[in-house]
Amino acid sequence: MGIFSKPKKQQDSKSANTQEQVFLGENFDVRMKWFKDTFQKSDDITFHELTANQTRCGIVFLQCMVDQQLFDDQVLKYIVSPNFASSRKELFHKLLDLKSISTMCASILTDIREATDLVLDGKIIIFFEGDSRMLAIPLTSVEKRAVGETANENVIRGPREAFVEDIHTNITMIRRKIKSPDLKMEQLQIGKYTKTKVMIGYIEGLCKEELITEVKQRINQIDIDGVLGSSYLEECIDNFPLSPFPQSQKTERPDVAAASLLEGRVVIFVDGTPIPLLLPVTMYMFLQSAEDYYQRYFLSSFIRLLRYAYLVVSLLFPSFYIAITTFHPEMIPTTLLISVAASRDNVPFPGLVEAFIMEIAFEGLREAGIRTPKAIGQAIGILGALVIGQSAVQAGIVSAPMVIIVSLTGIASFIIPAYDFAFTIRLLRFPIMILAGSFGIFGLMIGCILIYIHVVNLHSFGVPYLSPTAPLRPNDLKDVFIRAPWWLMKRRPSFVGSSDSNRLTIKKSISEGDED
Amino acid sequence: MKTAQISQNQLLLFLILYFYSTLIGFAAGHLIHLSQYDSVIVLWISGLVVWVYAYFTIKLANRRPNEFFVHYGKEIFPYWIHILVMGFYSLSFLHSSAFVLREYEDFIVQTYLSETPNWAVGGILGMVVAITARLGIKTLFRTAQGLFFLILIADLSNSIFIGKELKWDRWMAFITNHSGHGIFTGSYTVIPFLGEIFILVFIFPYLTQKSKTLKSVSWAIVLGILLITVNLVFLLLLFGPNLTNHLTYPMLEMVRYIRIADFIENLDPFLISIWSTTVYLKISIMFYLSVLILAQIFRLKDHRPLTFSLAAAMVALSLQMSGGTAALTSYYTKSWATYAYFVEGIPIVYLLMDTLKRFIKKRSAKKEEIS
Repeated sequence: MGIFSKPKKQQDSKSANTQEQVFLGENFDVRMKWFKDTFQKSDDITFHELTANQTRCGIVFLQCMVDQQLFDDQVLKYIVSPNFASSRKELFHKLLDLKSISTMCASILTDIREATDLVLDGKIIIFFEGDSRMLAIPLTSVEKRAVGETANENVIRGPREAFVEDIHTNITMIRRKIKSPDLKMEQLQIGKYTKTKVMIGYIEGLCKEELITEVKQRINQIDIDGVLGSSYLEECIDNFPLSPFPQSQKTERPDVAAASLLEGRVVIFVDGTPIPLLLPVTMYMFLQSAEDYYQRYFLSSFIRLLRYAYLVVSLLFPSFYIAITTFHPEMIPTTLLISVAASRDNVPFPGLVEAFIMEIAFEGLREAGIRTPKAIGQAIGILGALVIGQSAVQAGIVSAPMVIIVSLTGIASFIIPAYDFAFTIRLLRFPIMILAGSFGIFGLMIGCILIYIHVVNLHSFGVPYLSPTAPLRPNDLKDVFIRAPWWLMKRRPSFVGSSDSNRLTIKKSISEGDED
Repeated sequence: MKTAQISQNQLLLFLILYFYSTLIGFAAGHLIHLSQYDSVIVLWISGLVVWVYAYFTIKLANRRPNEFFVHYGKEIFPYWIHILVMGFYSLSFLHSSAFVLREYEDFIVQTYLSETPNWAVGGILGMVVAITARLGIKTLFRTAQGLFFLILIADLSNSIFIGKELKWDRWMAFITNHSGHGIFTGSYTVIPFLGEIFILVFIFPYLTQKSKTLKSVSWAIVLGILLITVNLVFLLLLFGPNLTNHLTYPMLEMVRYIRIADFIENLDPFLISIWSTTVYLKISIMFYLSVLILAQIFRLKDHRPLTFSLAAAMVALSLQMSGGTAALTSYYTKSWATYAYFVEGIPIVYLLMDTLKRFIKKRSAKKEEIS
């Protein structure tokens, strides 16, 4: 266990999300009172009382989440009809034993606390005088966003659809891609108040049993007020919560989620979040983009190598510049050195301070660009370009080469496909700049070693963060620095340890003679 | 303590870097001073001797493959003698790490950071070493595995770019210039350098597939020496033995010769910082072993509480151990080799004693059977 790892908690065998059951028997008034007491001062809850076949019947539902028209047509009309049942016994038999109503998936329950939860989940609860059983009818109708195009993970050639907030829509998108009964979706409920649905998806036979158990166990240990995004869970299940590096992958693309399921990884969907978590993760996955698999491998490999180069630029370029100008001017050619020195001549700050001013200004601009209302977004661009760029140089506050360095570093950080990983790299740039400003290239090396040993020590659900380079797994290197052609990637990555490692076999073509 | 964490591949790559690190950086000048053009022969003779030595140390470790030397050594020698020897080893490793750290401090301060005090460089590198040791041996070997390819690329590119500067007509001297005395004195210094492979005795339980250890070590010796040979030959072809002998850091001077397309004037800070990572690895393993042995002597469950305090001791020792580079070099050239033979010879004494004890035991068992 390293410095950044999580202190081990005492494992509580009892799930954090269980609650006591309440049974109130067959009495109609007692149960109606329970509902009314529970939902008092909640005017959006409808309590309806009616008589069907001389039997008192109570209906409770959340007005804004139920399709009332459908309920009237498919359920209520039949229950109140004298033809539906001739006696109370027959009514109970038809409704509660046979569930002979035209709505699918109606369920029977006796625990009133569970019934309360179902009301809040958009179900209609019907109960009768003389029978303790209650009928829960799922006629939920909620406004949801239509499946739209990806906003952040764009591709040139590849599917455009992105996940939405509704968990069921998201799972449908996955099911449409992986039509196998081995694709499992296990549901959990997290959040004392939000009771958020969490689905753990995996492919049985490809995903390691221990991984699934570990994920479920860690999620079940969370006792939290509410889960409004997958990040709530992410931070609670991380192995190294103090590490700046992300330990799970996020995506808004169903194809990426499906691909990771096919690699034997686990996908965690959280209701209300269009971004599921993918586990486990290695550092190299943050440098892979969906685009890599849709373009030809030459292009993908080149782009991937470019990404690695820009990763280094993003992390080290300003520090390198500081180190060279402060400690090792002999490294650059004389003419370049003279022009750099000339432009720095008027600048009153040392290289480190200059770099800090510019980097912080750039980070401020970037953040402002995201948060500003769209109408005035353009103004930020103009301000940034003029004030931070041109005017600052003309006023002699910063040097022109520094503006170039910071701009290039800024661009470099946006080339990294994973936003959170790119952000980590941007953050780590600052301590390295201080080290480079104090010790030159030696400081730079110290900074890199510190980051490196931390990353070597990291692991995500038992998979080393730098896998497959440290520890070295030569067979898995086909999809790391380059993207090998599909016909070479015949085996699944071994780090997930699935028993079925075979991914691709190409049968020999019959028309082998078509060479001319 | 959790064992079986280091794969044979990690061991192989680590050992190559381990051999390469200081022999190239700090000892090349002295070796060329002693053996001149025979340095290549010296390297391969030393490699052969060290292979034989490694065979015996692995034999000792293999007798109790899942136990630590500190623990089983008391079965071979009386308890107090063994504890004293292990205490000596802990100090010796601490001294070695401090020694390499001091060499590195002097190098960096003299070459690049002329106004930075030694303690600043020592302190910051000491901190990184302490963190590495705290994270454990698995992290250390994985770090080496990842760094290996970077270092190999840096070294190869160095060799390629320096090629055109070499004076190839010197090659004849490798065939014609020989001196028996040079070979002997050179080998006497290089053998203990490579003989530091005896650290295997202390980390043996951490290895996986222990039966393949000798094979990995053999490859490490061959590949490590090959890498060093290329660099030494290039040094001799570039500067010749006399100039190399008078340079404090000949490898640095060689790297400074690189010119790429008139754009990169001096690549040395960049290449030297990559090479520095090998020195960091060497200091880290020495320091880790010192901490590990101490923790095992005191029967601690965990070595981690000792790391930062011992790291402070290591940095202090590195700052106080000598008055300057001259004193450091004189220790290295005059006394280090003999001292190292003593340190590295101890496992062989243990092996002999263990064999003797086994032999006596067998004989007495036979006698009992007969009687």
